Amino acid sequence: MEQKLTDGLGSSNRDAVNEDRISELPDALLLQILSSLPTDNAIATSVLSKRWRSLWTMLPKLKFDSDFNPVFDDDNIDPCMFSENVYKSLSLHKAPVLESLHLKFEGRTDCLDVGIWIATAFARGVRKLVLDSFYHEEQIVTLPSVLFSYNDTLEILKLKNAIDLDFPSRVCLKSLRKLYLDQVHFKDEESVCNLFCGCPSLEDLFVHRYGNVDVATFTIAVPSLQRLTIEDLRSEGGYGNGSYVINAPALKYLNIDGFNDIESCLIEKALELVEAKISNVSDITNENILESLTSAKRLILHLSPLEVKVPTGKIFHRLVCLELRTYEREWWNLLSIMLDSSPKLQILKLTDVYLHNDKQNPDVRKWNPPKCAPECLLFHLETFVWIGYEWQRGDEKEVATYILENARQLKKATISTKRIEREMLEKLEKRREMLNELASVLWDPNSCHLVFEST
Amino acid sequence: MSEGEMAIIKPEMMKSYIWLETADGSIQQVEQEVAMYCPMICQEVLQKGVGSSKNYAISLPQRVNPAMLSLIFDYCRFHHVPGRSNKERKIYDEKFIRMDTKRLCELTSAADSLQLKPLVDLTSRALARIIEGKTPEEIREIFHLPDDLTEEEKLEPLKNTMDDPRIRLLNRLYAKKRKELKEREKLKSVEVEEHVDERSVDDLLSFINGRDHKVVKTSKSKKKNKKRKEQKNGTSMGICETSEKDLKHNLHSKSRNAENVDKTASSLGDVSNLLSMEDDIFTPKTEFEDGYIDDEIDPALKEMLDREVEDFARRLNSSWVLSIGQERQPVHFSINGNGATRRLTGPAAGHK
Repeated sequence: MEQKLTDGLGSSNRDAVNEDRISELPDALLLQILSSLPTDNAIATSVLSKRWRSLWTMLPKLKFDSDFNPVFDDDNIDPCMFSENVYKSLSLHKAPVLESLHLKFEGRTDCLDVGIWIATAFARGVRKLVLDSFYHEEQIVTLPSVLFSYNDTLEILKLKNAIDLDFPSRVCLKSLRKLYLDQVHFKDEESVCNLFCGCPSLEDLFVHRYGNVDVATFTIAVPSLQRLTIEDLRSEGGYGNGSYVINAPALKYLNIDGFNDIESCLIEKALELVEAKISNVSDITNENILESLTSAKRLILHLSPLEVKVPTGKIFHRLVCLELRTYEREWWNLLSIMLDSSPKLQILKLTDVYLHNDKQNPDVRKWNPPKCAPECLLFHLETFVWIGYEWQRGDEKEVATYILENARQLKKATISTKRIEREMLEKLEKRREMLNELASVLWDPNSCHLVFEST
Repeated sequence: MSEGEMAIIKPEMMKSYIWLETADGSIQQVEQEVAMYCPMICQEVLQKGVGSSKNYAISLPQRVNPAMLSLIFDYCRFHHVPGRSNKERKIYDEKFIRMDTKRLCELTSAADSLQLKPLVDLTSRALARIIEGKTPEEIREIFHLPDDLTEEEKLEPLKNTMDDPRIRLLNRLYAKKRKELKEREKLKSVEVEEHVDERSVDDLLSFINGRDHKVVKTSKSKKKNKKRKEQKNGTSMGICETSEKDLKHNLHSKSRNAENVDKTASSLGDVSNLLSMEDDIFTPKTEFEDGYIDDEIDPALKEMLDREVEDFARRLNSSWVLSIGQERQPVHFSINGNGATRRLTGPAAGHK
């Protein structure tokens, strides 16, 4: 930085005229430079010179963050000042289309202001709107529902934190493709319904909520939905145990995390399902999770068979790739059932990425392997990966041995164990022995490539 | 070997070069694969067939001088090799752009005219990094920008712009729409559920212009209207501190009755459309700003303005307007063991 400054001065001494080279650049280039700056810096360039005066007004993306205001040194940022800045900037802004507006404001901001900002953005054809309202003295902003009654330009909407959603009638967000609801608060179940039903093009839905704090039953009924992620940050109290209903026939990707102590979770079968990840579920009184996933091609199940109904029979007829977490209680029983139910399985992955030392299963050989070798092991399984294999555990050794013994089509097996420090030579030796044992049971050592790694 | 045979073998055995001529007339040659990394040169060679010899050199745009050209080709020479890792490229780039700002600007300009996007991105980001976080004076000094704005022009963004014409218009449009819809409701007492306005843009525009003589019709009548607006405007929709409390108080006291927002809901979309059209009619902000004075507010006008504002607020969402104002009930929160806050809803929170 300083080098440039002195060079600039040096060359200005040499030059007869101090040339302003940057202002010569075409508008599009200067706009590109301004786009790389934080919005308040970009707006500040309007006082530089005549050339720069209105350049920023053509920026397609604007971001206003009241959490960071360099004008004030202390933490108490005056919301009035922030609001004023936003108003000024929005009114000066001239680009034909406002591509993206990102507002981060306090919960105590006047709802009227927020309403006008949203209305202005909608009038300018905004494509992406991000509203992030952080709590200040527990105050919340209620979004004016009437603004959402008709909009056909908005494609991405992200709402975060201290925001209340109250939709007494159905919204109409024709072009909305992606919707992110991060810890926002719905007034009632009708609002949830009115929001989701009003988005005919919705493809991606991401919900991050405290279950049963706002509504008892969270219903997602969206015919166009392809990608759904729900994370429930379960907190105690509220209306009692909440419920989920998911009805998305076109669903391709599903990610459920954190459904604990819930009354019910009912998922309509998704026939187009490509991949589903279910993690951290427990204590659901009434659920049909695994049954609804029978069309999946890839499954990631970080759960225990004690917590969900595991259907039997060869029902996962499209399943090609399966991942299980070895941290769960009695995970090997889930493995047995899944091996039996998935005739076409090609890739099996067992993982404990965090290398837990405190696995919940006692190290007692309680595992019942399948009575006869499952079809997938005999005919289809080609890849086997185990991350965080605890070679000292009997139950894990049993499983590994079983798989390697019986998988006749296996082409590549990768087993990674926790790194051992050089000092623990004895341990190293034992591990080498154990791994050699595994290698010796390989069904067909000539065609299978066996790899041992350190995690 | 005879010369003829040499000429035939030559292209296969030796590197081929592209000939380029800069605006100042000097001609250079560069290895073909390096030069072809620039889309503009590539296009010239493939479409027009030039560059193969000294006489048919590609003429480069004016913004490219020989010094910049050699810099650009250094860049191309490094990057056109496919085998390099991303990390290598990044390290090279960081070193490459270390130069004084003058050359950086020239380089950006040259890269842009040769359509070499990766280099344009690299140099723009570097220029942005120089600008970021600096005061205007510092920036002007670094880039030798002329300080050609008047003091007033510089202060302009800092002036209170709550009386912004667009926001005032927004208020009036909302109020107008509400009145119009109320009339329509009286005519037919049927609830309009999902109403999409099929009227053309022209109809809506003429509706606005025809119904309200106050609204700007053509650019010529702007100045007249500006005065009228100035007179009217005392309280505005924004953050004018003295009037904010009044505003809130008025809203709160008058809006006890919840209005049925459903019927009027869909019309807001029309208003949004109208707003975007109005943008064209309005002059740029600057013309309104100059010499703006806060006039004395005629009480009758203030009354009318208050009503309009209140209507607007009611239109937006009746239930949360109740929560604005001094008597707002705080929402109760509890903090659970995880330290996260959670809302408890109840009558006190103003929700039903």
